[in-house]
Amino acid sequence: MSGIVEEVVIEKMEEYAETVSLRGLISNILMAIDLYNSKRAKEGGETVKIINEYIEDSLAELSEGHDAEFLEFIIRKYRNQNPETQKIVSDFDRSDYESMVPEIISILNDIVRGSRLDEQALIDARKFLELLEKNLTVVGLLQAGGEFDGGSFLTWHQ
Amino acid sequence: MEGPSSHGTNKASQLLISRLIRYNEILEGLAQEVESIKLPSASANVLKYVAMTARLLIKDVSRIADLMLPNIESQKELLDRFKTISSSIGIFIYFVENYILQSRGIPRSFYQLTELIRSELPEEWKFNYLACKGTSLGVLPINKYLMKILKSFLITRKEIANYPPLWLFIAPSSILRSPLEWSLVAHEIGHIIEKNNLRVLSRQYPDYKDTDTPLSTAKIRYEYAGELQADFIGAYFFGLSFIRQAIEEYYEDEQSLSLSHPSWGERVNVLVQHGLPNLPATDKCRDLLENYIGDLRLDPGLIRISESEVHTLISKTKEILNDSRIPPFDCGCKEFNDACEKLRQFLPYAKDYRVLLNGAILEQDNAISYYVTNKLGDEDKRFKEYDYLIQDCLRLCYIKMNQRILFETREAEEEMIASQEQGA
Repeated sequence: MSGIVEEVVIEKMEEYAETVSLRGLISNILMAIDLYNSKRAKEGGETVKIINEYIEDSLAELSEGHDAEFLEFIIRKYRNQNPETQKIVSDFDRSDYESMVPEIISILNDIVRGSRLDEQALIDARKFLELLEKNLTVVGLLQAGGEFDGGSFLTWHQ
Repeated sequence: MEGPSSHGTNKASQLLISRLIRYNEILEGLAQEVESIKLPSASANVLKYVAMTARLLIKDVSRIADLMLPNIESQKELLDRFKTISSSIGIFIYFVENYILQSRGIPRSFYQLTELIRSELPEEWKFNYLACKGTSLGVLPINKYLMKILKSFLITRKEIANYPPLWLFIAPSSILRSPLEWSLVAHEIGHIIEKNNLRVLSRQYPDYKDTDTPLSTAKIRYEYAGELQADFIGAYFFGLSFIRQAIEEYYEDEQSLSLSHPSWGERVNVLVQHGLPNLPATDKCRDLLENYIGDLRLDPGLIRISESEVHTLISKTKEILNDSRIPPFDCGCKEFNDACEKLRQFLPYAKDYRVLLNGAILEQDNAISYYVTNKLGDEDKRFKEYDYLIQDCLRLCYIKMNQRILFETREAEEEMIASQEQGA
């Protein structure tokens, strides 16, 4: 035996699905925040209902609180793949994530209650979520096995 | 964040939204294509589910395109949401095209074998499944997979969440092509019935969480135990043919350590030490097995599961299988000898599919040599002809099973009518 860790197709599919799922969760939270901030959205009752639906779904997921371990595993695994990926995937700080989740939950609860949002907390949360979403997008591309081209990917993301 | 949208931004936003809406046509096309596949009812249920998911996604996409994305004021945010949403749809389309639609190319008799296995399970254990080609053998929980890749689609997830588990068998062409390899599917069925019904592993490893990372010892231990248990279930269903095919198909190919699978050495060792004593005709099994195992090295994998853990796992699994009246394959039964006698003369045998597959594997060399010596056909086609013979026999077993079901149904109907008439 060579000692190389082998992954079979099902494991790869499940790991990829987990990454896509987390990217989707973050996207859902950002979608809810963006719609809440939108003047146009507030005018339509239907959109407010949808915002609450997305928030309820995201809160249920966040309250399970099991994502930190997987995020740490998956981001480090792909970040440390080669020097190129180290440049484009930021390291994951578990303590940052664990301290940010309650902030995000609080923002989402404030939106549902219609309370005034803390502007700075919102900016920090958005910045954090956007970085995480970008990292998971890169990880997803690497998992999908596509050609990794840091240059063109950066262009696409700028 | 960018400012409010300009005229150019509006145009760009409209372009993105119209690109998203274009997915609906593709999704409807996929749904129709999936619905056009004709398979036995347990697989037809999976196809219905996938087609339904595609149509629900159309509702989600329309809602996102009509009520959500147009209300996002920043172009950058809109582009980011579009990318995540369209990427998820792309993954779904890829999954349907490369896995679900590939179920069309699977030999009918492979489905018939799985139907035969299902027919022996208690009613509440009968699972829904689909088979497709892949690079390695495995089983994927379809509902769970779709729930994850479709995170952004709330209408869809809400509707598809409460369905009974559906499974996708993924198998390499080398296995799907040859009926002699099909006993390996019993290992995958072992995983399915553990997750759906047995739940021996979750009781034995209560601290394990589905979300443990692949590198955690708890996860490796749980996964390894699951593989050893599925091997035992495979051997319970198919006896020696399972063990022999597992060794032939995989043992020599093993060049790496896996986080999810113990080494083949460990697996064979556990089957011999713990599996065999729990199967009928142990001595005969052991004698036959010795030929297959020979001088194989039985090294452990990344970690070794303790003897007592394996003992509890196997005995508990066997207990539930016995209680559920699933008979183990008995290589000491008279029927097996009869089947071997026929097959070694290249003659059909179709009384019992498990006896058939075991006999087919055990007598393959003799049957091939009989075919050549007696000039039964083109020598170059001897292996292919043997595969056809076994597939045809399997088909006959399947027809007999359906006839038996039909006969039993008629009998039950007649009894019901008679009792109603008596009551009247």
